[in-house]
Amino acid sequence: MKKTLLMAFIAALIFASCNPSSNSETKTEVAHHDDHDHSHADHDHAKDKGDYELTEVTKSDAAAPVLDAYFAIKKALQEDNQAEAAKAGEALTASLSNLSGSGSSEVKEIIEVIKEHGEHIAKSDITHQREHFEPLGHDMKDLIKNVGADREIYEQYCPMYNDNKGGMWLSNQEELLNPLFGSSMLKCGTTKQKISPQG
Amino acid sequence: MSKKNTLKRILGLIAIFITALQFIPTKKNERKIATASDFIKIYKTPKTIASILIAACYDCHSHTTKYPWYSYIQPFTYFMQKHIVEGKAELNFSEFDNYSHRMKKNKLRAIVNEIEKGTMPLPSYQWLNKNGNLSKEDKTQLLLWFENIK
Repeated sequence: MKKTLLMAFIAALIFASCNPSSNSETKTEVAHHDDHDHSHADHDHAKDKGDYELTEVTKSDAAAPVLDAYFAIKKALQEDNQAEAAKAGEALTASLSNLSGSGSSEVKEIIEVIKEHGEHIAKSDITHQREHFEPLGHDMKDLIKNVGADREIYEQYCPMYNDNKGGMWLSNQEELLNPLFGSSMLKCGTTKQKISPQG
Repeated sequence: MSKKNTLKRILGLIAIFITALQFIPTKKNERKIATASDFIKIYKTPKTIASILIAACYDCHSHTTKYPWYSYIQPFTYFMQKHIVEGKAELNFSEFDNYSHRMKKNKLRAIVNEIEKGTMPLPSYQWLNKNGNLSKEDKTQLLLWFENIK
């Protein structure tokens, strides 16, 4: 009897210790609402107009489904909606199949990385979704530089993201709604660049 | 049947189940020779950093796992195998040079992030492997190194 009990105890111990505890993350984003921190962030949108850099890319709808999915993630994150962002992350990964057949090796490499971001956004908590969404913005920008875009796109930037290291994203509208912070700091940031399709 | 007997039966069944599990064959992840694309090789990683990486990361993120004693007992073997397969799919130090430049940068960013947040190595792994336990000092050293090559 004692032996069986001991074995059961060991078995229980084994099962108990094998639960991956990656869900234990309870980190919340700290949003300083300190006006001093905003000194380098320009919140005057009226003044912003036309203040940013203008860039042209080829007019093409090759990346349209990828952009649709990206902007869906962006919208979900600015609304603090983890589930919608996850769904859009899946859509992002799926949308790449249209692109992957063609293109240079650089485009293939960009697609590979975008796919990885999409997969992680599809299965993560919102903090981790944002950790992938920020670098994803850089890859998306490189993608449209290579394959073109079908719409006007704004590059926006928030200097406070990631412990004031800053972070960027692309937007399909000029109005600034911050997906890296969501409701905790929805208006923080500036528009850096307007990317317009030409030709 | 008394309550005691039922309990005895259940415990007996659990014991039989665990014993039966031991006969599940598993493929080992132990390619001994470091590949030419190995992270430590291509970045000429200093010894101190290399030994931390091997102790704390390579078990699940390379082709060379050092199997601890408990990993020969089911269901540990199963969970270990699962972590290795998933770990290698996410990041494989043995194949690091086969990633594109863009993907390397992406992996390095993620590595720094995971170490900073303390989500990697997995807490359960750290609990079971004293070698895999990153001290504050280890963390600082790793972060410095990774930030440098990022």
